Amino acid sequence: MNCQQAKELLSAYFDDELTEELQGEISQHATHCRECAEQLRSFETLRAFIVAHEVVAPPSDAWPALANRLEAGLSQAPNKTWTTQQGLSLLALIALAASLLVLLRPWNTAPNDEANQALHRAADATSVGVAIDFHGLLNFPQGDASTALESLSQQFAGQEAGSGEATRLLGYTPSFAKSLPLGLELVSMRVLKLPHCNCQHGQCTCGPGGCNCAVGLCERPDGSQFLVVEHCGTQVISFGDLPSEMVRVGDLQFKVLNIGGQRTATWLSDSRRLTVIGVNGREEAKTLVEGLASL
Amino acid sequence: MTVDAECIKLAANGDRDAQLTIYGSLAVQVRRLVLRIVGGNDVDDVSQDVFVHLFGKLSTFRHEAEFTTWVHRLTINVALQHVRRAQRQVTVPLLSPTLAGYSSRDGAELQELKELFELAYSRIDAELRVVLELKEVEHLSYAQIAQIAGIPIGTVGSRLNRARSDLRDQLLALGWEGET
Repeated sequence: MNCQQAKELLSAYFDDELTEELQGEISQHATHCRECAEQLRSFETLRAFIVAHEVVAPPSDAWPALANRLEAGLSQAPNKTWTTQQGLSLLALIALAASLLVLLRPWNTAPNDEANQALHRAADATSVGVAIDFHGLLNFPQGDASTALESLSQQFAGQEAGSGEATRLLGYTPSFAKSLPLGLELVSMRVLKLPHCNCQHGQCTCGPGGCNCAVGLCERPDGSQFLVVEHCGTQVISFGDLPSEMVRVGDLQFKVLNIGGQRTATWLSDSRRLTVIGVNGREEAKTLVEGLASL
Repeated sequence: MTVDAECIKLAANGDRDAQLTIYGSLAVQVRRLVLRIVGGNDVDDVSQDVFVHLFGKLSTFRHEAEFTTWVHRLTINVALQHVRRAQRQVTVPLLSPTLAGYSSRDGAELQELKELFELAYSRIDAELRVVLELKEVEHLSYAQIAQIAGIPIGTVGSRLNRARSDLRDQLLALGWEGET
């Protein structure tokens, strides 16, 4: 057996899928051929890599989210209505068209009530909220945290609230209002009303027809600011087609991406989703994920 | 409740408890396979898609094949469809792992190696990742892989050859120093 023939059978040899005779021939060849022997050793190393490569269990809300989707009879995930994949339902197309009307609105104009109502009607019609496009909402050239807060507030009827008022309106105290790590300070908080979430009745404190959401404007010791957004984990948010990366911290994992030059981290913690817009880097994101998840 | 013919029948008729039983027995396995094919960013969405398809098509399961084989095949089809749809989108890691310079196998280095591996793995062809996953993690025979992947048995070995070779090349290109 020549080297080329042996190379073609190396995987089958390694996986013990050859006849006894062929196994013997490859084995003999590998004792004399340094290249094939090295390749077999690399197969061993790769196997160890692959097997050791841990897989995180599904998030705790995976089944409720799936059950909701099965209940709604949707064959496509709600957030997929933002892509041009096949099989869009008529309702999803209505939702998409309505959403585009909202998102194509210039930032410096007043909200288009008609389009906004269409978005909400479409969301109601599909039983699950269409994805809220954070990329579209927060991607503007002069974007900084306070501008982003105003944008979200204008879009979703933001109301200034202290910790007590926020707790009363939301039915819970936002994790970032309880405590912040790293000497960070909460300087302002708004309570927003998002299109209704995908929780079943009694599963959250949002009430019918809406989804409570809290946004905190936070400040670092150096005066720079960022936003934390917290709402029901079943509320679907979308970041369009932005490239992103998953980062793992202990049992938690979060997604990191850039919106208009601002690094953004988003993750699920228990039943709620938190999104930090304007995070400084991986270490700050990790500290925030760990710090806020422990509350 | 266990996953048997009765459970499958109930789940196909929309029984939520039966569906939960099937979900509970397969969620980790499906997620792992999806993760290897589509990568980390969309793993939860695509895993959910798999189960929606699974419950939608459950009435077509004929018990002629192993249930897990049927689920594997469906998972691969849904995941590969997603990959093909997403091929136009470029996924660029924002936080590049440090690729060289580690001198001892401490925790940080192991983390770097894992990140390195994930990056290399994501760069090889999705169909090659499928056969590699079915072999190395599911420990399936070439005959079973051929059945699930819908390819001739003779192709399994050549795909595994390419998968291993490409993965090794990607690791080396990223600065992996081989076995140390």
